[in-house]
Amino acid sequence: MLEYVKKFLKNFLSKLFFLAIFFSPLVLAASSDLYVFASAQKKAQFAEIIHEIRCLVCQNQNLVDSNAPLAQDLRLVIYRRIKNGESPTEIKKYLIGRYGNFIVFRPVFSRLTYCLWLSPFILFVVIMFILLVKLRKFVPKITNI
Amino acid sequence: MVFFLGRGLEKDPNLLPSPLINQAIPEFSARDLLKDHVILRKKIFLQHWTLLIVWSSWCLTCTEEQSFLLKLQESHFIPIYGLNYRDRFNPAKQWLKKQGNPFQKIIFDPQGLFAIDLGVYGVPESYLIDPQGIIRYKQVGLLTASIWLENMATLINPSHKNPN
Repeated sequence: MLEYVKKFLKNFLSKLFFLAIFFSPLVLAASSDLYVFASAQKKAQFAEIIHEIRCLVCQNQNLVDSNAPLAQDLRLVIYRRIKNGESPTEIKKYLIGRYGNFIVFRPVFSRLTYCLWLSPFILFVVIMFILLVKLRKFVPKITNI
Repeated sequence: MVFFLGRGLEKDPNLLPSPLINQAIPEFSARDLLKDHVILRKKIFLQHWTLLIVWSSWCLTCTEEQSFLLKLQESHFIPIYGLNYRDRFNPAKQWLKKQGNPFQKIIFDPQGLFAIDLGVYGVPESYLIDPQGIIRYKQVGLLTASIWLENMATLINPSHKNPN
């Protein structure tokens, strides 16, 4: 009888433990995986990164949505590095060093990518300039009365 | 803008250029699929050129590379090592029995962690590594004799001619 009670308690408690962990604010779910964190800050850092990294297999998905094996592996690598205390910047640098700028959705603002980032503004200025020059013709000349 | 769009459309987004060209291969520690109890480290890549083939038993395209790799291995032109990616021990060994084994050593990487260190994102992929352990070329996708001859063999010996 005692054995039966013990077994039941153990079973019940482990399920309760799992539920408690699951609803704990330090658990994050991404695709089909669950991640447990030691602190809210680390959880936030992890969440930030996996939103910004592209899954290279399903290239329009980030690591939150993608269920591809590579996405799982990348999440695991990122999770371990966060646990080890690496910063999001360091982790992104590592991934870019392995896969290139394409792996982050927002390319890093560097000498190489100045053109990419500033091109809308440059284009805007150029177009405005052209328009101004062309439209000058239509401004009526003020003649002396 | 149209110019950039046009150029972009012609490029295959699945073929990413590797930032690891001319970088050293990272240190690692892994079992050899071919020899139990042997741990492989970075030094296996030093002092000779190596062709590293990333493959899996579940990868269909990898079977298409085998006949070329077996011929290359027979020519003894360059040691060919394998990186068995996200695979299981027994299926991997079975695959080698069925498809032939051109590899002298095979890095067993069931979790794909060393592969991530190399920037692997699919199979098959191949790396040409020089005697200092520097990655000189990376091929994403099927490796054929002509890709080998035009892009890789020429790096080893600038006046390389067809080994056949």
